[in-house]
Parts: sequence; structure tokens; C-alpha cells
Amino acid sequence: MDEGTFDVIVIGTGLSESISAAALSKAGFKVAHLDKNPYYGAEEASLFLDEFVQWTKDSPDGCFAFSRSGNESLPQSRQYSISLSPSVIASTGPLISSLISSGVSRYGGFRLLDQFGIYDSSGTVSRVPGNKEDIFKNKNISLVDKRRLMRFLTFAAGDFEEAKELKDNERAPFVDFLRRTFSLNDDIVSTITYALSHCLSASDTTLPALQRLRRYLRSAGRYGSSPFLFGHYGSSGEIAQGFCRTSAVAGGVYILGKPISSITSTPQLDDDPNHRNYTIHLDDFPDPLTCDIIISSEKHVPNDLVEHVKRVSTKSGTEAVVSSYPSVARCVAIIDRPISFLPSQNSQEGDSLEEDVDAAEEDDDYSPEAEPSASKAKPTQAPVDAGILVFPPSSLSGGSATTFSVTAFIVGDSTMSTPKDKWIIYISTPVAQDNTFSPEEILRPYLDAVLALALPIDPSDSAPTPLTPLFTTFYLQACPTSPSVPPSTSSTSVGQSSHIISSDSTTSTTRTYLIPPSLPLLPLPESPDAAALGAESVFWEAVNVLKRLRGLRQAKSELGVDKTDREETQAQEQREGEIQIESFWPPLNQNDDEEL
Amino acid sequence: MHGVRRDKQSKEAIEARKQKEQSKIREYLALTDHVLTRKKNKDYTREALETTTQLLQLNPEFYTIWNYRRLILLNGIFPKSSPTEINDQLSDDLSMTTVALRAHPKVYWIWNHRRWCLENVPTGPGSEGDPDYLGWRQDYWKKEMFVVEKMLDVDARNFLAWSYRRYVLASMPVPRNPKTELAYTKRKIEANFSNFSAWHQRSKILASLWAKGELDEYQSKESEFELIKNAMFTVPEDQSAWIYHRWLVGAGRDKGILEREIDVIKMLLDEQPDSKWCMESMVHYNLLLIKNHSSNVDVPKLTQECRSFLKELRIVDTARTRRYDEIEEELGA
Repeated sequence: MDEGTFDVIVIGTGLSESISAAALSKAGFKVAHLDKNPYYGAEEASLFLDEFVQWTKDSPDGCFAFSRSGNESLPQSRQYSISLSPSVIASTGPLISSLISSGVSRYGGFRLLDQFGIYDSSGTVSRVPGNKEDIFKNKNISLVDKRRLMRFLTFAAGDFEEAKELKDNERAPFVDFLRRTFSLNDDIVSTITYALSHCLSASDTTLPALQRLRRYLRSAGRYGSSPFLFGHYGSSGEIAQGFCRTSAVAGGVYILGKPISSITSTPQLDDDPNHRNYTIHLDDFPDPLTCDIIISSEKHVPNDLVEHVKRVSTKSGTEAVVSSYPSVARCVAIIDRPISFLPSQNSQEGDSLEEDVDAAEEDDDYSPEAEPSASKAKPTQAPVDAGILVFPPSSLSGGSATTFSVTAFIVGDSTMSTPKDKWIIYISTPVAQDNTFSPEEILRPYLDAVLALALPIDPSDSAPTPLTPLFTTFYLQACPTSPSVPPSTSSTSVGQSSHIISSDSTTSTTRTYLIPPSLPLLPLPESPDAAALGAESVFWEAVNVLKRLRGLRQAKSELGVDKTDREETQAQEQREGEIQIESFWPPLNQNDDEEL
Repeated sequence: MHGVRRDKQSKEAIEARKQKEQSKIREYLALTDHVLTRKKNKDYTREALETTTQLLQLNPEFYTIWNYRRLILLNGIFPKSSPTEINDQLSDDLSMTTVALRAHPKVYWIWNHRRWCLENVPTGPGSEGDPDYLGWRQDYWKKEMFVVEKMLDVDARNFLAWSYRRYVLASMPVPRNPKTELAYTKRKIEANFSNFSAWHQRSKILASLWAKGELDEYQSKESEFELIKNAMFTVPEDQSAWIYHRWLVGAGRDKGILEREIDVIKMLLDEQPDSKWCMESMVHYNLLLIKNHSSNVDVPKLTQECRSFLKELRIVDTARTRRYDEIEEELGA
């Protein structure tokens, strides 16, 4: 086999594609992975600050209506990792399993999120109770409500599919189900719906909301009390890059920064064992690449290859069922003062039930090292360094989000995504079909509400100076499956998603252009697991196709073969017999340890 | 470990492992024999000490060897050493137990040896009358609290650690403020209120503070009732909460409190009709009312309530049917 020939070519180093590339390389297939960008991650990339600012100016695919303010050339640009797809990873789920099984988890660190707040209409932020300890300590929930909430959470964490409470309610709005079946009050219903289950609107239905909630509840406690992780250096892009790295270690070939000039399908010439289905030419690249399978998202598919396409769907289980909306409004802001949702977790705080004895706690003769857990500090407000604040629909007066909830996600330097004493605020919300507001008009009130939570520079300051971000941008991002996606301006993508034929079972020919399921942009914890599930489905589809093709090739080569090709045929026969793939990821060897 | 495949064991690999284990067992038995022989011969040399170190590393549960080690130190090493040398030796032994405890946090003999070391620290480094006369001892006690806290951070329900904690608190040259300890139990309870040891410790400290008059008993009990109610409502199946509640109610001399708590439990029972602990507590507290305040309560009514709860309990908790029968007999009396 010569150098430009591959089993699979993957176009775009997004998260799902990168996971597939890694799995296929590790399974022993020859993989080439291409990306027109000079960076990994594609739509899920994590960029330095100046790269990100440039990205907002470059009319990127699927994103539009940009507005920017503040300083566009801040210092320490390379210490920022700004994610184009801010998301968090559930501690139990397909992505974390893939990270561990593939060994990619060893490439970097993760931060457990530790602050969760919900904004209520009185303008205050409350802590989101996620487990029994939170409920126990919470002063704002009555005893009876505590029981009801715990009973509901126990139900939601169990096997509820056949439960009588759920019967006939699967498609009812979740909020109604909670009120009626579990007698929960409005505040608790709101907390469960928007902050625990991460629903996006009041019309979200019960069964998917419960399934999502259960996944999150079962993630709590694995690495800490919170269910969510955020990878260092912007999470999404760094993880995609990690999978690319593991793919390269297993022999995958990487070509970044070269746009594709053409993708053509080469018709099968009967007896040619060297035939490959596709040929790809890259700009400024000497040789064409050939392969049997292409994996890429919709937008890369040229019009004339549409019949080759198979849209791979995820096997059963977790479909990201959220309200249908065409796009998401996003805000990215950089601040240089911490914000705080809530008072500190310290038990001396007014948040806990008993105050008298704690106030009487006296200083001991012992040095701090001898008493690491005895804190003598006055109650302080813990700055948010990895936290989520949810605004349920209509919770912010002056905010236009009345149908959908708004999510604010704040990260600081402990996530290795910012320099010291800087934080990134990500704000996102779905945008309805009939929206006429600009993304800035939609999200500005929410950004202001978050900025108002800033801690004063001087703790004794009663009227702290208002916090202004160093840099802010607002934009709209189209959801991948939406029919109203504006035409892509990229030179390589010739097709428009609305024209791709969706049926793929009309012919009996093997479909060799595989499209992974597109990723939901919201809610925050869904995209990584959806990427892993989609990648696994694509992996198995590719493996089956490649097995079939190898079989066909072997059959052909047995019918009188040229002597000069004998060696190659034998290699092929060997390879055919070697395709014994039992699992998505092969066992991790000690050899895979590059560091440690 | 998650995600790491087990390599299928070949027959050869299993055989090889077995052989390795056999030789390890032989080594261990030989060492044991050797050490016990020395013990029989009252060998109190440093060499003997080294052999006990070896054996205890392999098996820290072998209490005979801990005893032997102490005999060696007392009879062989200490008589020939200066106070500084004794202190250093004990410091080494304490390190040895720290390491052992990390791997075996619930072995009594390791905790015992630690206590013994602490109790045998000589006075010094200064002589009598000097400010640092008890310097060594004070240092060790300070560090002990740190060690215990580490152990409880790892496992907040390790009752040996809690017991040891009480020992350290009682032995400290400068006693710690009990209210600090109270705050510590509060912290542990808030981290996970299904912690019987933490509630138990709390009850011990409160009782002592009340007895000494340092905390108003009535006020303090009211706060505790507030606290415990939250545990009961959040997880009614958690028995540590109910046992603490029972301790708070005590003998039931205060009718007002008794009736109030009964009402609270009734409220919980309404919400959670299948709660065994609610029903059992209702019976227990109603019995207290009947016993202590018979002239002020409707005894027949309460008796009837108890009977119906007991009936329900026999269904919900069949394992204790005979106990409920016995309680019912007591009712009749």
C-alpha cells in the first residue's frame, strides 16, 4: 500500500470525528484525518484569545451576527482557552468511558464543577441542591418539601421506566408532572427542571428530562459531589486534540491547515484490487489521498456524492431531545474580578442551621497546620471558578428569554483556561424561530445580571464599582440540523444541508460516506456524550463496511492474480483475517503510557 | 479499575502466580518461626527489633509481635538509651504505625501501639522547671490531632478513629475548647449526616457542656431538635438520626417537647406512610407519655394509637414481629 492510500479519511477534527478517528486507528485501520483549520477541534475547538477574536471576524461556518466590544488584544492571549462549544462532561457516561478506555484521560487534567446556582425572580441566586447533604443544609426549603424533593430524586435516580408514577406521563410537560405527581412547589419544580435536569423550556417533556436527570444524578459522587467535569484548557478542543493525538500514536496521519480542493468518487474498475472509492485533493499538497470510507459532517459533502451518504444514527437510548429551535445565542465575556453566586461552603456560614455555637468558637493554641479543617475566617463569599448559573424562563425582569432558560457558565484559572485573576463567562440560550432580536439584545441583560454578582475589590465596600468586561462578543450559532442554516461560505463545502437526501436504504450498495449525528449545542452536559455515542456508532458502521470491502477484494484477488500483486494480495488476505474487533477501544497497554 | 481490560490469564501465568504465592507463604512462616523463637528466648536486641519490623510490615494484625516489640523496647533498648534516643525511636515507631494505618485503618493493634508510644514519650527536651519540659509530648499530641483528622477525612465513619480522637482530646496537655470539637462534628455531619459516630460524639460533648453549665441545655436542645428534624425528613430511613432524636427526648420528662416531637413525626408519617422508624418512634414516645404523664393525657386513645402502629409495624417489619408483640404486652400492663 502506498502512502496516500487509506482505509478511512476523516474530514474535520471535531470531537465526534476525532473519537472515531482514534478508535479506527487503534483498531488497526489506516486513517488520514484532515482539517482546513490550523488548529484541532473544528466547531468544538478551544482557541487562544487572539485566535478567538480573529475567528469572530472570519465569518465562520454556521455562526453569524457578531458584535464585539472591549479590548481585542489583551495581554497573555495564549493563556486563554476559549471554547467554541462550551460544555461539561458528566462523570458517568459515554465520553468519560471513552476518555478512560482510550487512554486520552491521561493526557490532561479535569476540574470538577463546584458551584451551581439558580436565579430566581426576586433577583437572588440560590444554591442548587444536588444531593441529600445539600437538601439537609438548605434553610430555604420546608421540612415537608425536603421529604418530597428527596423522594422525587430517589425516584429519578432509580429505574422508573415501568413505574406507575410515570405511566401516561412520558410526554406530559415535565413541570406539570413534577407538580401533579410529586406535589412539588413552584420553586422546587423550577430548580429541578432547569438547574438539575437542564431542560431548556417549560414544554420539555417528562421522559427525556427524567432520563437526563438520572444520568446526572448517577454521575454525582464519582469524583466528588458534583456530577460534571470540565477539561483543562477549554475542555472541548483539548479533548478533541487528545483523541487526535492518540489516533496519531496508533498510526493516524494528520494534515491540518490545508483546505480540500475536491472530493471525487472513483468508479469501481472491475479487477483492480488497489481501487479505492474516493480521491481527495488538498490545496498546496502534492499527492491526492484515496480511501474507502469518508467520515465527515454534512457540510463537507459535495452535491454529487449525496447518494453515497449514510447518516449514522445513535443506537437507542439517549437522543438529545430538547425543544426544537433553529439557533443559539451566545456571549463570551472576559472579566478581571471574581463573581460569587453564594456565600462560602464554610459551616460557620449563616447558610447552615446552627449559628450560636459556631459563633462562640474560639481560637485555639494550635497552629493552623495541626488543625487543617478548623477555619477561623469570617464568612466569605467563595468566588466562582467553575460554576453554572441557570436563569429559568422569565426569571430576569427585563430579560427577553421567556420561552427558554439561559445558562451562564463561568470558568477561572483553576480550569487552566484563563490567566490568573481572569475569568471567562459563557452565556447561551436557544433562539426561537420568530426571533427578531440581535444576540446582544437577547443576552446583554443576562450578562449584566452576572456582572452584578461581582465581589467588591475591597470587602468592606458597600457600593462596589460595577464590573465591566475586558472583552465581550455576542453571536448566533445555527443548530446543525436546522433547515434554515444560512449557506456556508466555506470554499470546500459545495452542498447545502437542506438538499441532502435522507433516505439511505433505497439501494443495496454499501454506503461509504458516513455522517455522524450532529451534536446538540445545549444543554451544556449533552454535547460530549452525544459525540461519544455518535462516534461509536460511526466506528461500528465503518468497521462493517471495511470488512465487507476487504471480503470483496479478497474474493476478486483469488480469481487469477498477477504475480507482481501476489505479495499485496497475501497482505490483504492476512488483514482480512485479522479484522477481529471486539470492542470500541482495545485494552490499554502499558506501552500506551507516553508520560507518567 | 474502570475501562482497563483484564488480560486473560494463561494456564502458565496462573501456575506461576501460585508458585510465587507458595514461596511467599514459606518465607512468612519461616520468619514467624524465627521471631517467635527469639521471643521465647527473651531476645531483646536491636536485631530482634528489626525482625519484628519486618514481620509487622507483612502482617500488622499479628498482635503478639506488637507485644514482643514493646518488650524489646522496654527491656532491651530504652534502658540503654538517652531520653533523646528514646524519643527518636518512638518517633520512628509512630511513623511505622502511620504507614500501617493508611493501608489498615481499622486494625486495633496499630492504634494501640500508637497510644503506647505516646504514653511512653519521656519528659524533655528540657529538664524539670524548664518551659520545654513537656516539649516533646506537646509536639506529639499536636500532631496526633492532625493524624486523626486525616484518617477521618478519608473515612468519616471509622469508629476506631473517633474513639482515638476522644483519647487524644482527653490526653492533650492543653485541652481543646469543646465548642471547637462541637463545630467539628457539625462539619462532619454536614458532609454526610449518615454518620453515627459524628452524632455520637456530638451527644457526648453536649452532655458534658450541659453538665458543666457552659451551654444552656434547653436552648441547645432546641437547636439540636431543629437540626435533627432536617435529617429525619431528608432521609427517614437513616437510623442515626432517629437514635439521636431519641437521646434528645431522653426520659420524656418534658410533656410539651414530647407532644411537639410527636406532632412533627406525625407530619413526616403523613408524607411517608411507609416509614418504619416513624411508626416505631411514635410508639416509643407515646409510651413515654403514658408512663410519665398519665394523669394529663388520654391514655386509652394513645394506647389505641400504639396498637394500630404496632399492627402496621408487624407488616412492614416482619423480622421484628416478636419485639412488637412484646411492646404490645407492655402496653397492656
